[in-house]
Amino acid sequence: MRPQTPLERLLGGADHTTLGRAFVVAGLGWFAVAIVARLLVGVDMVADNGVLGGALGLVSNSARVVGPLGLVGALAGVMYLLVPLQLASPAISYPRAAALAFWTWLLGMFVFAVSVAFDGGIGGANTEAARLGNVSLGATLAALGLAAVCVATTVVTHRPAGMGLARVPFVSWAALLGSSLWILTLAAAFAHVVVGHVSRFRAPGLAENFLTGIVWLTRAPAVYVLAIPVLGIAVDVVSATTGTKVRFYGAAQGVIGAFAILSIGFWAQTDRSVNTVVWTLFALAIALPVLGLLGLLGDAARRGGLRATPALPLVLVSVLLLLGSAVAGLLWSLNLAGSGVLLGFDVRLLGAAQVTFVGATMVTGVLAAVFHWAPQFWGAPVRPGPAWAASLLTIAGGGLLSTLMLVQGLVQRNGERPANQLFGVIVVAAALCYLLGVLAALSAIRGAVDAAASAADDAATTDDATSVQGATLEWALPTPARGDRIPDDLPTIDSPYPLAAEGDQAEEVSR
Amino acid sequence: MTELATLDLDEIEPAPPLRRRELLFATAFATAGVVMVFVTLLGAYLAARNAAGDLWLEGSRIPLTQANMQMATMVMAAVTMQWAVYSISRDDRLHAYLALGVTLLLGLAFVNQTTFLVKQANVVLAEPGGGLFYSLVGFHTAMVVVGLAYLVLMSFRTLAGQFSSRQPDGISAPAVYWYACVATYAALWIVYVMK
Repeated sequence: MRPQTPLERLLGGADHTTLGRAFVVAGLGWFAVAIVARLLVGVDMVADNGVLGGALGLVSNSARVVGPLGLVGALAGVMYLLVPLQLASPAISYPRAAALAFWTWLLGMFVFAVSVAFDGGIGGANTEAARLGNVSLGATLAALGLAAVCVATTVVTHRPAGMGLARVPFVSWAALLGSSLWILTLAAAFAHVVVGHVSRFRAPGLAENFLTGIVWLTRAPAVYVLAIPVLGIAVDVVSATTGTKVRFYGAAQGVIGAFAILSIGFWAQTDRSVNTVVWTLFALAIALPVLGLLGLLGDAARRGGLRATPALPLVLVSVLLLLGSAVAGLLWSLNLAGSGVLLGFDVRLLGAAQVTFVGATMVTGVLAAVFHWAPQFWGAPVRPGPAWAASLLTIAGGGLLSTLMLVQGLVQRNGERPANQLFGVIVVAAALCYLLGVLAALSAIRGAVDAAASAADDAATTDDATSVQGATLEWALPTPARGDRIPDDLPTIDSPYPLAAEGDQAEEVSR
Repeated sequence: MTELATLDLDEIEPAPPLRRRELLFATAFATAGVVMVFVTLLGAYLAARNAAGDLWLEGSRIPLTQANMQMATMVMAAVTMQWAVYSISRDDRLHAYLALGVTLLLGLAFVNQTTFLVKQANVVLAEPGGGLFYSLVGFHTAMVVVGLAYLVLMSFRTLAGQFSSRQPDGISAPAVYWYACVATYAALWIVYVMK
């Protein structure tokens, strides 16, 4: 029988690797759309609102939704592909539901974009289009919740014998925590979509519903939920790249767990809940697990040999960017002292800075994953040129745009807009950088796919001297990964690093 | 002789083993999400009610007899659901079928009672609180309807012999969801009482 083409596998199958790749590429594509919207906003700032006019709010708010939801999809794709491989499972839990989640997400994002084009989206004036945007937003949230259910169930029930939760690789551990909290957090946002559709069904009401009911998802502490899987990616990438094992495995799991707990944010949905001691504690304490994780990564780097790969700077910066978001939370907390407007900072911009920092964390994390696990994702390592270009441009663009939002929130106080055109110029430069980075990443992916196709019969694909080899199970599987290619002779799981050389594990891994 | 008759049964690959607890965990995760939607709707309702004061649903009257009967129905449905779980885990199939049937009947009765209550309450969508009232009640009713569909599906699979004491998840999993429906109705009942 003729083997299925990749397109046939995507349209008619439910293989977790195919769905994961599609999720990643489509997620990066939607993120690129959001960056183009940011670019337009920057141009509009330079032209003193002469480009977007009355549509500024629509484009700005809609980009604030499309970017993170696109990146959540991309992270879901990383988890779709990597989690079953790390557990040596031939499939994700409920593969048809996983496929349904992907297609619903894709359709929901597309319909949302259409609603924006017809002056709906979020903040548009056309009621029918705004309702369409609200429904598509709900469908997207529900789809991502369903994807999270599949991922979380896979980690809990598909582990091989000997792999207790304490031995789960970090991507899978973070995927379990992240997807569990995605289910709760996205569900809480979905409830407001329901409220909007039933009781605020005019365009202005839906815009207000977003600001009062959904925008909390894009500020601390809830926004950090979106970045939880990136922490697992960071630890596994650093561990494999430096050739070392994380020495305090349980502590590292605990640090990611602490980050997850401090990112629980569905209790802080209203503006009133922000001006409280608990919110301030959450906003400040999130920096502690991030610093702890940086310490563990630094320890691994110190003990191992650092090899310069495009993924390494991406994961290190992804964790550092979370600290930037924590700084925005710190400044917001300071501003809240007294009557809540002590320093007059623009808290709307500080909130936007937080989601921009976390978005930069997510995109750098996704790119690190698809570069590091390129043999599993695409069948061959990525070419260094485009991958390095993507890495550096994305870091520069993401870092600049996030920091700019933060500075803008501090400078443009008490509702005034000094130096708005200067900020606009920098926004344009940062967004261009960001966009080029994502395009370079897609080019690197395309190059890896082409290389894999041209070397389809070449066994050296998996033994390339420049490729990084990790000590977790996904590195023992044939590449490119496919659900039906799980060999029977996998090693016994008696440590978190089953592929590590004997004697190496007891020495370096302790709980 | 047909081609089918010449098949060697030893050559047929056995079905992959069922992963125990997979359905249970998936249902638990999904239930957590659904409950979260309900809790958020309830929070929005209470916050808006607190802000509106005496204007809240002032033109409506929610009869409590109906709401109380619904509470009793759901409590009975929880008991019969647990009866089904207990029976299937002891391979008592007859009682499992009976318990599932009674649970389905009580669930349908609950949905019927809800439609009656909504007609009696006569809440207007446009009045303050009307939208949130319908969001809350409508979402819970949708929850119960989904639970009934889930129960019907699993009841058919039980009839086909797919679940037993070795693999009771097909009954335990909808039971988890069903208990969530009952628990959330308890919160909704308080809303009916307090209006």
